[in-house]
Amino acid sequence: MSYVEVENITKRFGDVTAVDDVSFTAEKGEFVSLLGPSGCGKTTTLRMIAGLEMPTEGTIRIDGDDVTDRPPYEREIGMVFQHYALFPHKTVGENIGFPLKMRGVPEAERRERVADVLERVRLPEVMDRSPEDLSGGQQQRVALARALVFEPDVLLMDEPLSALDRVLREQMRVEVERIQREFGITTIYVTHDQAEAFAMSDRVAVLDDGRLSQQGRPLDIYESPDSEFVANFIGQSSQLSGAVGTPDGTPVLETDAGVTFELPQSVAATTGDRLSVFLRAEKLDVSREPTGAANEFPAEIATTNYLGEKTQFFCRLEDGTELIVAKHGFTDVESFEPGDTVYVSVPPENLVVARDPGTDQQSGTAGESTA
Amino acid sequence: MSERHETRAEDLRPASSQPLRFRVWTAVLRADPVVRGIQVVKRRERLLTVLQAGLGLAWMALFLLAPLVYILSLSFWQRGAGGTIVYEATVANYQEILLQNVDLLGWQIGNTYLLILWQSLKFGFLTTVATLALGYVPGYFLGRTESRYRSLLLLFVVLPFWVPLIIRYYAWILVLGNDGLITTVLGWVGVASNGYLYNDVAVVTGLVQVLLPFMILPIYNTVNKIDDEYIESAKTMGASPLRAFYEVTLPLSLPGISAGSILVFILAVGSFMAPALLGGPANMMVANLISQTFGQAFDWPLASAMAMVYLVVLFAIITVFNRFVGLEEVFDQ
Ligand SMILES: Nc1ncnc2c1ncn2[C@@H]1O[C@H](COP(=O)(O)OP(=O)(O)O)[C@@H](O)[C@H]1O
Ligand SMILES: [Mg+2]
Repeated sequence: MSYVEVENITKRFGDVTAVDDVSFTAEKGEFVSLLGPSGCGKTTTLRMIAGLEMPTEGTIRIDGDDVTDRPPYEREIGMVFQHYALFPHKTVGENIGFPLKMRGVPEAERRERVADVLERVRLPEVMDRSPEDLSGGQQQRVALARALVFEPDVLLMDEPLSALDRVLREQMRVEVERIQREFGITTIYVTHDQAEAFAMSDRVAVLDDGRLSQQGRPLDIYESPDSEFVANFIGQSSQLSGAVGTPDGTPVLETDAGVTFELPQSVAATTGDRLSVFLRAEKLDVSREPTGAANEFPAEIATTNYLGEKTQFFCRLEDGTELIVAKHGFTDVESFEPGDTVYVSVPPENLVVARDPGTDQQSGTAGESTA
Repeated sequence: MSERHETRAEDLRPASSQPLRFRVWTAVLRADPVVRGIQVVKRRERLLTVLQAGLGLAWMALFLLAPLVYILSLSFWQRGAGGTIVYEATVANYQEILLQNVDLLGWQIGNTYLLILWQSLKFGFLTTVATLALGYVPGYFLGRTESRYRSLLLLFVVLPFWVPLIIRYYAWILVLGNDGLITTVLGWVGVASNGYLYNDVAVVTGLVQVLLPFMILPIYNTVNKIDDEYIESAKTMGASPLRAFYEVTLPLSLPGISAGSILVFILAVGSFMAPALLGGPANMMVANLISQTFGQAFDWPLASAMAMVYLVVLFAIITVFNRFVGLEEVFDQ
């Protein structure tokens, strides 16, 4: 039995189904992220765990207790809101002391514990300031301190870093993770930023339009996405679809774009199956001359983007299909001109294969269908 | 010059895929005289803003400041025979309204002006407390509700503003009067009564009835602006709805309470019609006394002195209130 169990929860607002039959779990002390594009139901899911929204259907259990029908103030939940929601009429100390005050902790002890938690989030000496006088990053720490000071069962965070600028956001990622580990608190974290989710989480649950697409370790989700949505949402990849053929006895994928792919050994495919391959941008290789590598095909450069840490090549196949290749630490970018012919290759084991929607009735284990 | 023509030609190019009507209008709007005209109007706009601000200030100076200065100077002159004014400086007016009839030794503090001023402030205070008690809940409800009838309900709050004050006070006579609503209803259940007009309760309840929207609206306005997240975060930290209200919503709605209280207090203390229509001879308020001194006694200097003292006292009260609440905060909102 897991510490937090979200079981088949559904939330409907009138005609809108914001969350549709979602289940996931978090173990004690685990950091789980809910990842998905804007509007996919992340906030609604989190709010149901907090008790701020009642699920239309389903059950939520924390430490074995069914809390589904309990109001938020009877759950032991620490929540960090997207815009922090620090009380403007209270000092930092009063803000952090608030949950303790609600629990009847006497004033002196409150001050002590507030000072202690401020120390732990590395923000001493702001106790008597107004939260409005603090910087975004400091407010963030105060919000975190306020959610942790009463040692709740679960910490919930809704895109807490989205209001910060990029550099600070990356620093705070490390900080939030450090603080989470130090407190050892079970955490459910909502974000639409894949890098953020991957950097901090033990496990990630990917949501797509109210539904759970996949959950697992970042590595599993990235390397073996089990749906088209996940493959497209996580990382940068290009999709090619086609039918399986066996010209030389071994099954290959003859894509509609005219490129033929050798499939990974793990994929059992039968002639006639409709499959898609997802080509991860950074798993593709690009060179001026054919190298004789497996799965090599010519393409024409449309544009190149030099981004510093990596260079993106936007390539076009003969039929006009676009393809993105990313090379890290690539400096020879100026010698590639739009219109040049290059050779793109990808080892079969680096292909992510998914069965096309609508053809999942056939046998085969080439990943799960999204239908 | 030629550069501008080039840009314009470029701009027009994508428009060629648009319908003819659109293209014609685009061409018209980009014609030189039109462009220049727009620029002139835009420059004028700035001029207009300055003019408007200037006009507003001039208006204030002419109709607020000037009369005030006139009244101030009047208050130091004397009343001559038959209501004429004798232009001889004196502080007698102030002495009369502040000190006359004050028989301290015999405990007869019989100064009409001060007593009436005191009564006005008392009525103002009672009205403020009553409108706050009656207005907070509706203001809070309007501010927090997500009902689609909110605009309609708000309209009901503002609707009385469209009815002339005098009619609203007369309506109150219909409620409290001899054959009014209350006596009629009480009559049905067998309680005989004679109407409830011409006493201090009639004056204060009338003021409350008329001034209630001035309390509800600012409260609605501040409560409406309180972010849901504050209340929700209080709840996740263990605050029951009542506790969350007390700890979060109430303090955050203080600016609205202050704004409403000041508005209602000022309007109530200076009320003329409520005591005139609903009160008895003993319920006179400062506006009535000043008006009588101006209009019936024809003692303009004395009336002016009364107005000045009233103004200073009111100003002092608001300043003290400001010390405690911080009006800047109110008007920041
Ligand atoms: N209170 C609400 N009333 C109606 N629709 C809502 C409400 N809250 C969220 N939704 C809808 O539910 C969907 C999911 O919203 P949300 O959970 O906020 O997504 P996310 O946090 O992933 O961006 C959206 O389509 C949104 O419009
Ligand atoms: Mg959201």
